[in-house]
Amino acid sequence: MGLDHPAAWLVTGAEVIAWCVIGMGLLQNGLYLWQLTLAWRALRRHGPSAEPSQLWRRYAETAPPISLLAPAYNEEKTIVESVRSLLALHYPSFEVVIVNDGSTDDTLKVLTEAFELEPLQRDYELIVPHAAIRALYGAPNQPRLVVVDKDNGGKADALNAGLNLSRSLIICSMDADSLLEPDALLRAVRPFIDDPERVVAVGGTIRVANGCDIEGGRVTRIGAPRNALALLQTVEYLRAFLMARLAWSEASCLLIISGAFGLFRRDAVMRVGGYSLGTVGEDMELVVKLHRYFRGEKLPYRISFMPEPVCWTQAPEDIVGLGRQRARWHRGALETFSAHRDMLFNPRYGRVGFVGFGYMLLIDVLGPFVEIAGYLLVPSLWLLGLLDTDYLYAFLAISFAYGVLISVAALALEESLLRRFPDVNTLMRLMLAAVAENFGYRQLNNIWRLRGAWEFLTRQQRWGTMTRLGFNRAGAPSPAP
Amino acid sequence: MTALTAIWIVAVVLAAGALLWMSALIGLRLVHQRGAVRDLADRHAVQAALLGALQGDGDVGLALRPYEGDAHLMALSLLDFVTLLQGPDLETVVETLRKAGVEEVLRQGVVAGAGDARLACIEALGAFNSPKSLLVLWRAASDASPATRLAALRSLLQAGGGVSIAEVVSRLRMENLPPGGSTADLLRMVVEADPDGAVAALEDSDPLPPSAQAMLLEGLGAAGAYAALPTMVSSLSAEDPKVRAAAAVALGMLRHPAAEDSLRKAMDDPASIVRSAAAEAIGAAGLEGLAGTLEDHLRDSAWSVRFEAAAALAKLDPPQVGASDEMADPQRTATG
Repeated sequence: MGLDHPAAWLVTGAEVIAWCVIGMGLLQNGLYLWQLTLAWRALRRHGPSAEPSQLWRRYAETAPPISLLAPAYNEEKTIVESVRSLLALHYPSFEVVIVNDGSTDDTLKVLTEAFELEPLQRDYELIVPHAAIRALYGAPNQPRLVVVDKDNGGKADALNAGLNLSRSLIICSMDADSLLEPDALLRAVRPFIDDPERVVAVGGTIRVANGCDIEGGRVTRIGAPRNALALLQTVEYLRAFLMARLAWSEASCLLIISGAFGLFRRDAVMRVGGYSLGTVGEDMELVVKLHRYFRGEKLPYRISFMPEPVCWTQAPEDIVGLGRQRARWHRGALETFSAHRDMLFNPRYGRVGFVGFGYMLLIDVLGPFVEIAGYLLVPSLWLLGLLDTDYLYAFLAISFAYGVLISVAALALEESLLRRFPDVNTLMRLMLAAVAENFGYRQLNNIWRLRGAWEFLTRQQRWGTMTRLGFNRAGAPSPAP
Repeated sequence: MTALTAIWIVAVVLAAGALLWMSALIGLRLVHQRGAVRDLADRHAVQAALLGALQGDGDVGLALRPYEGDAHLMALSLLDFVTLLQGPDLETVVETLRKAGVEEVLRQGVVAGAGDARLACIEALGAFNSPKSLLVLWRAASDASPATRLAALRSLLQAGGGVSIAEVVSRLRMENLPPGGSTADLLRMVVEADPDGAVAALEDSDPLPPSAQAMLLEGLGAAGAYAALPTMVSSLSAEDPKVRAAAAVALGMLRHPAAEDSLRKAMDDPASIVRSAAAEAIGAAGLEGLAGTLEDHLRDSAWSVRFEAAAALAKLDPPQVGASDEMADPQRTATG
């Protein structure tokens, strides 16, 4: 069949489209396999670390003071339990700064009653911008606790207020509704002890708390969620943290430290102007600003990820809330990419510009469009007889078989080297989830990412609402009222 | 076979391989699960036996026998007691373990072990001081891993293995030890044992890296080495602000009135970290004669200096505290 025949052009066009989709998929999966290899190597090298008592013996004398910054907005259901849990962390020297970001519920009232808060005076300097502070409170029986009551300004704004008020060399940003494991700070602070001159930020692992038993603000038994969506997210978080972030840390290209749990050198954060206001991806934005500053100034620095310190978080259990969260995350990533697009392939920013931003372009910016286009076009073109069955098989392999490989291998990585899940039943459920997430959930995620891209393009700034469920029932979060 | 065929065949084989790998791990977990329960029981049994030794139980050797060969278990058990006990009680525990042959087991753990288990054996071996153990620790002090070298030097120091200040300083010069908090902690222990050696190292014609100088100075301050006062004073003129700040901190720790003039000058240092360190030192040393200088710095351009000056004034004469309270008004400071 010659190319001058209209059908030949159609076939060639279809094949070009199919090869673009397959090539993109191959590249994406190749990158995932590379991440898997790096993560495997890193975990093998570090091995399981010491038990908490040994860590305390080794590092308690040298661990620097930490200010925990926890913004709270309408958290009346969970805030007291979360603060009690934070105050009971095993760390030699820390303060807990709760920033009530203009809550419209009784967050401040429940805190005041539970901790008998009284007005407090504290000298601070307005180094990074934030909305007006109304009052500061301290607890006579809890000298480590400081509560800041301020006008609403968003999470970044609240963190900036906490930054100005904090007095430690290291700050830890987190969500007020998340739970840190008791030894999480001691594990996460190690890079700052080992390399205090260069380390500017350290991220820890976020894990899904749904399905775990929680008592007194502590995870007392790790379990797999009963809710299908939360179970799929458990595997997804494993892949994101244990594989991707560890690999990026190994490659010195880590572009995001989760807002739910990250440690930063306070002076470094101040130098880049604190958290950027008016973005929903303030956590990623901050890390990119740090890369930009230190690489731009040619200063030595390190941004690391530690897999062992764990912060537990509630995963959304309804599809609407999850979709909204994922769209927001994607919008945040695109905002950061857009704000720092001059770093892309810019030699001044080294591998961060080439590898980190190149990956963002491929996976975050182009990825959802190409994948969705692939799902629509390749089967359609095959049904129209414009593509051979080999194309369809290759596309299905790229879309599903490699997905299963990556998800199951990430779980195997966890089980081989960390072994945090309690029993065989949990592991079997997670293995099934690792397979299942590739058939529907991943595609749904791409649709949510497209929605995030649309919101970014149309400059929508809403955060959406998120129902706080509370951690007060063993085995599962309590139902929303 | 075309490229397209290869893509899906490879994908299916790899996915099947991952599923098999995970299935095997699930199988292995069944074995590990029992092992974890047994490990915990063993740890409790060893702890009970050692508590028995403290209470004069004569059958401790028999109770320990099933666990003697497990270097990691014995190391962790001993370290639990090292953290809690000292003096004759600790000696009783160490002697019990020595009689049970644990020292040799720990040495094997250092020579043949890996990862955190090996590190724990190195740390536990610091409780013993036989020449064989010291030799094993000295070998570990030349390990490729900085964490292992550091742990071995600490254990040698605890075991009286003759870690000199010259040894540590020479390692710092060669960047053989990481310039972090754990090294500073080791250095503090070495300086405490030989402050004169630390002074000699600081006054060496071949200057140490600034981070090492700072660690030595703070070690001298923590050791209360009054003979080092002139060295600390001269370090206040060092080129690196971190060294100057460390010298100020060290002078504060000495609490010697002779530091007054030097700390007054340090309060005018161009680097804010030196001024805030000097303010902190004045408060720590209780140098009331410098209250006026501190008050002047309540309007310093750097927040950290203002904060430290106010905190130092609060530690001095109570009437001065009013000035710090005035500065401590958050709204006032926030609005400039």
